[in-house]
Amino acid sequence: MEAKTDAYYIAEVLRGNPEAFSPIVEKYRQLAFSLSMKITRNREDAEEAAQDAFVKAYKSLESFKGGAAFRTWFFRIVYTTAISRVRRSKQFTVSLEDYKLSDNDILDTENAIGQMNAEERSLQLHKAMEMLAPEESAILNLYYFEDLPVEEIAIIMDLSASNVKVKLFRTRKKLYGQLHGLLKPTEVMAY
Amino acid sequence: MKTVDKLGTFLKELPMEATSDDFTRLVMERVRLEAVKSQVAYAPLISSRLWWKILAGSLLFLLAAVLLHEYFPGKESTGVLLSLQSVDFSFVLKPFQSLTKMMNSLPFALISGVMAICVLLAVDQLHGHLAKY
Repeated sequence: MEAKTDAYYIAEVLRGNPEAFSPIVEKYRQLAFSLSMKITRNREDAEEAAQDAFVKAYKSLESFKGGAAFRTWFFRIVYTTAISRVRRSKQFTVSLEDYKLSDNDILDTENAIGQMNAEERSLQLHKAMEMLAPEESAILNLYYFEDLPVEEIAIIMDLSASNVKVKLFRTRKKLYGQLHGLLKPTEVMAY
Repeated sequence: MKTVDKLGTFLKELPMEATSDDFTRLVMERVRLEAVKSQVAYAPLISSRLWWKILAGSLLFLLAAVLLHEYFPGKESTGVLLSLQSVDFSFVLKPFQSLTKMMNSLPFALISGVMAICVLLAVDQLHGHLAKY
């Protein structure tokens, strides 16, 4: 069967056929859930935030001008929905530590992480990511997991492109700092 | 093309959690509900743009009435006192006095009728807004 574009389904929905929204949900459900999960860090909250985002998108579909990609427009809804949910619940711990890592420290941490087995690496990365602020987790998710360009992330997060670059740099450094702290100095040296 | 650093490679390896199986069904149930709601959505009789026009028109009318009454007062006018030595600021309050006088002269039935229409239209507008949520 021929795959239809987002624009086709959106036009169908706007013509009064709500069922045409189903392929859109099917296409973006994983992306929406993944971003919500990185922000809320809780499965139930992430599912609810992603569902709310789809309903909000459906309700405001008329305001989607079509100039920007639907994906960007929709991601912005997911991002704001998940962030406001997290801010309401205030259930997260954020590390405010200022990391002063040298290039060697970063390299050592990278090597140590690289030589771990996949399971251990995943565990350490999850632990380190849990100490990031929701916005920081979101920016990593959009950049690395969703592979979005900086300009698109800037639209989604309502920031300037240079601001996104600065935030990405700081978040990366913070994550390395967390990993460096998690791996004992002896462990880092041992690899 | 974007260059992916080592951290990116590690992060990409992380296992992704999947949504529940009935995710799409749950979203579509809510979407269908929204579709039904929007079909029977209550539309206000007077749009908010028209409300602003009515408000502006009423204010203009009121202003014109007060000014006309002030500058063409008829027989009972006392005029405005103004001399170089002392300025009488009572003219500031005069339009308001005229307004109250004018309001008092209107028949009670007319005032209550206008107020009732305003209340009904406000309720209509409020209901229209509430129906959206």
